[in-house]
Amino acid sequence: MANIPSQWLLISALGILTVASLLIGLLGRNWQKSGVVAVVSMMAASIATWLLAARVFVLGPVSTSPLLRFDLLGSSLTFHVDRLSAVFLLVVPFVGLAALMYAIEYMAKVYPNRAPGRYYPFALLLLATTIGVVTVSDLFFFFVFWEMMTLVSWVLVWFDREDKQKVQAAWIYFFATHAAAACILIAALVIYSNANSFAFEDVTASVARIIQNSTILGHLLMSLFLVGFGTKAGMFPLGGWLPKAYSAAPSPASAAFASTMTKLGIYGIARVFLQFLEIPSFREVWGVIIAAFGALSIFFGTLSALREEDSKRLLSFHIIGQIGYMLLGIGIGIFFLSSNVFLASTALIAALYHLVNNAIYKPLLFLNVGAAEYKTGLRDLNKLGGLGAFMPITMTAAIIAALSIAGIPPFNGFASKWLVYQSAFQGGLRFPLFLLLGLVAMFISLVTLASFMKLIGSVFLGKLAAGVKVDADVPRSMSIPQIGLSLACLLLGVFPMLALVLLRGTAQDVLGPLVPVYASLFGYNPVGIDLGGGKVGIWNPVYLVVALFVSMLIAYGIVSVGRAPARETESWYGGEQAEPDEVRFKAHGFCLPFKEAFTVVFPRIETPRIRLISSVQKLLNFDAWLYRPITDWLGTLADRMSRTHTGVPQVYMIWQLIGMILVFAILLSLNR
Amino acid sequence: MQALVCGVIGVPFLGAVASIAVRDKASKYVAAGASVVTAVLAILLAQTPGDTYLFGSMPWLGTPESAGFFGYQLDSLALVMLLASVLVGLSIVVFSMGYLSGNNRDHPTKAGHARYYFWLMLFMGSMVGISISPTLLQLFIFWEMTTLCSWALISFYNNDESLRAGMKALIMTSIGGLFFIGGITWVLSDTASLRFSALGAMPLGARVAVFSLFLIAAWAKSAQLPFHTWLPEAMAAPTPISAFLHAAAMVKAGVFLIARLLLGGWMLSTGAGLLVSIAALVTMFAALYLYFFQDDLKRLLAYSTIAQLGYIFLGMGLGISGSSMAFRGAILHILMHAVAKTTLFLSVGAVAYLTGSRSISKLSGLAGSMPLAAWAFFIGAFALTGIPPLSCFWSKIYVLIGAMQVRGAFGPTVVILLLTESLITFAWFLWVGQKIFFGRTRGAIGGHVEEAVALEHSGAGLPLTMKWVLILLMIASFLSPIVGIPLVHRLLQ
Repeated sequence: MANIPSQWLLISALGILTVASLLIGLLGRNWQKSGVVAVVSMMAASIATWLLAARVFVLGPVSTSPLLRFDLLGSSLTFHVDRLSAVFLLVVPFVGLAALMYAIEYMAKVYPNRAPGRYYPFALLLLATTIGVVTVSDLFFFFVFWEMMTLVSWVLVWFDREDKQKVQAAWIYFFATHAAAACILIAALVIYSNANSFAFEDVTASVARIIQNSTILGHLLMSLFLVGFGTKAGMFPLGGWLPKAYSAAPSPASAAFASTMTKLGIYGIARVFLQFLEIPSFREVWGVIIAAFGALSIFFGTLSALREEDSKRLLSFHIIGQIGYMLLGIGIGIFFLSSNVFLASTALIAALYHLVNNAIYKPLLFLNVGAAEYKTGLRDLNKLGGLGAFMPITMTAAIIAALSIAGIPPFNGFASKWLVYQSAFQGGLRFPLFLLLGLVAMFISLVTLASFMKLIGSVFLGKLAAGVKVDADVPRSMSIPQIGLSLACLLLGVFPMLALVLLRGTAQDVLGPLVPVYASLFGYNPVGIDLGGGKVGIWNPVYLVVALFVSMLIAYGIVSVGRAPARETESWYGGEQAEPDEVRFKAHGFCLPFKEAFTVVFPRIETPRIRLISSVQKLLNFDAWLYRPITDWLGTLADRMSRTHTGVPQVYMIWQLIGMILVFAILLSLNR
Repeated sequence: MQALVCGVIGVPFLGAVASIAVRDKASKYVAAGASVVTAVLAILLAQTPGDTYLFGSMPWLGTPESAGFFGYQLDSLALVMLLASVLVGLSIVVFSMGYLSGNNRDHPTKAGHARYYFWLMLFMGSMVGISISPTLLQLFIFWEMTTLCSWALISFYNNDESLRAGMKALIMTSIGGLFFIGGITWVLSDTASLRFSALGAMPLGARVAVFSLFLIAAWAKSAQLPFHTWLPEAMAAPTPISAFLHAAAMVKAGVFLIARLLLGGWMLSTGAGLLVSIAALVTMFAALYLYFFQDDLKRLLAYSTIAQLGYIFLGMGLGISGSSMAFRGAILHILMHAVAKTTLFLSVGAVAYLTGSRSISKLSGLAGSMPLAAWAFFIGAFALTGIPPLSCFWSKIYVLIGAMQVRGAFGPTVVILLLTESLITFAWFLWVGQKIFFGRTRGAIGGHVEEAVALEHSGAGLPLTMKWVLILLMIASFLSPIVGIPLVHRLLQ
C-alpha cells in the first residue's frame, strides 16, 4: 500500500467514480441496488483518497507528473496535493459517503418514480470533480474542473424538474454560479496574458507583476477572484442563491453540497489571497475587505435565518452565516500575513478548523431535517413537532449538531469559534476594526443558538401534528451516517488537538516556513489548547467532559437513590380540550422581539429577465424593409420591360432598327 | 497520394451518378457505400503529410506556363474542412436512410429518394473539392456547385415554401458569388495568379479592396449580417440537409475562403481585423437576440449557426489583429461546431420524425418516450456552449485566450462579450430543452406524442440508423477535440 505512487491513488479514485457513474447512469433501474453500487464505489474511491491525504499529511506535499500537456496553451494537467488539498480530501469523501448511504433509503421512498440515473451518477461525479478542483495545480484545468463541478451540482439541484418552483431555484443557481465561474475565467485569462502560463507556480510572480504594473488592474483582478469565489461560498451580498438552491435539491444532495460547494469557495479564496498574493499593501486591504464581508455574512445570514420557517431554508441561511466565520478568520489571516505570522497562522488555522467542523455538522443537520421529511413529508416548522419521542437517534444527532453549530462546549463548533474569536480579539488589539467584527461574531453566536433552539423545539419537542403518524426512527442506513457524523463532532470537540496538528501543517504549506511550531501556537497541552503557550487563552475540553460526566453521574445517583415516583399523564390545558395544533408553540412564535428589532433582508438574486423589444426584431428583419422592396421593385421593372414583348413582329423589327441606328451612331462617333 | 485524392473527390461524384441510376430503394445503399469509402479515403489522407499539386495551366489567360489552376493543397486547414465535411456527411447519409421514409411524421417521403441522394453525394463531392482547392478558381467552381446543390436540396419537398426558400438561398448566395468573381478577375488581372498567396503581390489598397470583395462573398455564403435572412428560411429543407449543408459544411465554405486567404502569407492592417471582428460581434448578438422570438426548433438552430459562424469570423478577425491562438480557435471551431450542431439538428430531426412537430410551444414532456433524442439534445447543447471537456469548449477557450493576446482594451471587451453570449446561449438552450423534454407530457397537433409513446413501445420508434448516428455523434462530441486539436496546432508552424 505504501508503495503505490500518489499519482495512481488519485487517478484510480477519479476513475472509479467516473466508471461507476457511467454504469449507474446507463444501467441503474432500482434505487436500492444502484445505491449500494454507488456506496461501494465511493468507499473504494474514498479509501484511495484517504491514503493519499494521509501520505501528504505525514510526508508533505506531493506532485504528479503532467498527465496532459498543452504547451501552446501554457497549461498542463498536473496535480499538486498539499496539506490544504489534503484537508478537503479527508473531509469531503467522509461526508459524501454518509450522504450517499443515507440516500439509499431516502431517495427510494421520497422519489420512487424518478430514475436512479438522475441522482447517483451526479453525486459520484460531484465527489470526483471536487477532488479534481482541490488537487489540480494549473489555472486552466482548475477552471475546467470548477465548471464541471458547477454543472454536476446544478443537475442535482435540477433533480425535481417536474416542480416549477424547484426549476426556478435551479435557474437562479445556474446563473449565479456560471456568472461566478465566468469571473474566475476572466481572472485566469488576465493572469495568463501576463504570464503566458496557467501553472500555479507561475501565478504568484505574475500577480505581483500585474500589481506592480497597475494597482487598479491588480485590485480588479482580486475583485474578480473574490466575486467569483465569494458567490460560490455564499458570501454577503452574493449568497442569495443558496437558500433556494439548497432547498430545491434532495436532502442527501443538500448534505453533500454543505460539505463541498461553499467550502470550495473558501478554498479558492485561501489559494488566491494567501498563496498567490504577496504584496503587503494588497494583503492588508483585502484582508480587511474579506473580514468585513465575513462579518456582514455572519450578521445578515444568521438574522435572515431567524425569520425562516422552512427547515431547509433556515439551514441554508445558517450556511451563509457560518461561511462568514471562515471568511473572518481568513481575512484576519491575510491582513497579518506580512506583519505577524503568529496571528496570521492562528487566524488561518481557526478558519480552516471551522471549515472542517462546519463540513461535518452542517450536513448532519441536513440529514436530520431530511429524516423528519422522510417520516412526515413536511418541511414547515410550524407543522412539525413531537418527533423526538419516536426518533431518538435522529433527535440526539440533531441536538449534537445544533449545539455544535451554536458553539456550545464541548462540541467542535465551540473550539473553532473560540479560536476565531481569539484571533479577532488579538488582531483587534492591533487593528481595532477586527475587535468590532469579533464582537459581531460573538453576538451572532447567540442568535445561532436561539435559531436552533427553535429548530429543535419545532421538529422534535412538543406534540405530533394531527394526521401525522410516526412509528419508528429512520432505517439503519439513514441513522448510521447521522451517528457517524455526530461522533465526529464530539471527537473533534473533545480532542481539538487532533485537527490542529494537521491544520498547523496546512498553514505551513500555505503560508510558508515562518509558521510557528505547534508548541508555540497551541502549547504542550495533551487535554486541550494552550493558545500562545497559555498566554492568550486556555481551553481544556477533556476536563469539561469529565466534569460534565461526573455531574451527570451524581445527578443520576441522586435520582436513583431518591426513587421519586414518576407518573406519566396527559398535558393539562386549564381544563379545556385542545387539539395538538392549537397548543403547540409554533416556530413562528420564537424570538418575536428579535425579529421585530432586526428586520434585515438578505439581498435576493433573481434570474435575469429578458425584455424583448419588437422594434429591434423589425430592424433585424432585413427581408421586410430591404430585400423584399428591392425584389418587388425589380419585379415591377421586369414587368414593365416585358411589355415591350408585344408579340407583333413589326414592333420587334422597329426595335432592331432603332438598335442598329444606335450601334452605328456609337461606332461612327468612336471612329471620329 | 494522388490516387487517394482522386478517390476522395471522385467517389462522391460517382456515387451521385450511381444513386440516380438505380431505383429509389437501392439509392440509399449506394450513397451510404460511397460515403463510407469517401470517409475511409479521407481518414487515410489525413495520416499522410501535407502536399500540394497543381496542374492545368491556362497560358492564354496571361499566366505563366507552370502555374496550374487545379489540383490539391492538403495542409491542416484542408484536412479540418475535409474531415468535417466527409465524416459529418457520412453520419448524415446514414441518418437519412432512416429519416427519409413514409414513417416520418413530419415529412413522409415515399418517393424521390434517388434524387435526394444524387444531390447529397454531389454536394459531398463539391465540399471535398472546396476543401482541397489550391486556387481561387477551383474553390469558386465547387463553391457554385454547392450553391446549386443547396438550391436543389432545400426545394426537395416541392411545396411553395421550400421552392421559395430554395430560390432565395440561390439568389443570395449567387450574389455573393458575383462578388467572388469580381475578386477573382481583379486578382488575376493584377497578379496573373490565382493562388491564395497572390494577394501578397498587390499593393495594400488594392489588397484591402479585393479582400473586401471576398469578405462579402464569404458573408453571403456564411449567412452573416446583412445576408443572414436566407438561412432561417432554408430550414424548409429536410432536417439532415439542414444539419449538413446549413450547419456543418456549406456555410463553412465562406469562413474557409477567408481562412485560406489569411493563410496566404500576406498581411492586413489591424484596422481590418478590428472591422471583421466588430462585424462578427454584431452578427453574433443580432442572431442571439433573435433566438428568443423563435418557436420552430430548426429556426432556433439556424440562428445559433449564424452566431457560431460569427464566432469563427471573430476568431479570424482577432487573428488578423495578431493573435495566432484566436485564429487556431476559429479553425478548430469549424470542426467542433460541425459535430455539436449536427448532434442538435439530428436530435431535433428525431423529435420531428416521431411527433411530427418542431414547435417549442407545442411540445412538452418528451423525455419519457424518446430518451435518446433528449440525451442527444442536451449533450449537443452542452457541446455547443462550450462545457469542458466537450468539443466547442476547446475552440472557444482558444479564441478567448487569443482575445487576451490582442493589445488594448478590445481583447478583454471581447472576452466579456463572448462569455455573456455563451451564458445566454447555454441558458436558452437548456430552457428550450427543459421545455420540450420535461414537464407534463403534452402532444403536438392531434396528440402525436401519445402515439409516439405507443410507437416506441411497439418497437416502431426511431429507426436503428438514426439511433446509432445519434449515439456516435454524442461520443464524437467528447472525442472530436482529440482529432481537431493536433490538426490545428500544425496550422501555423
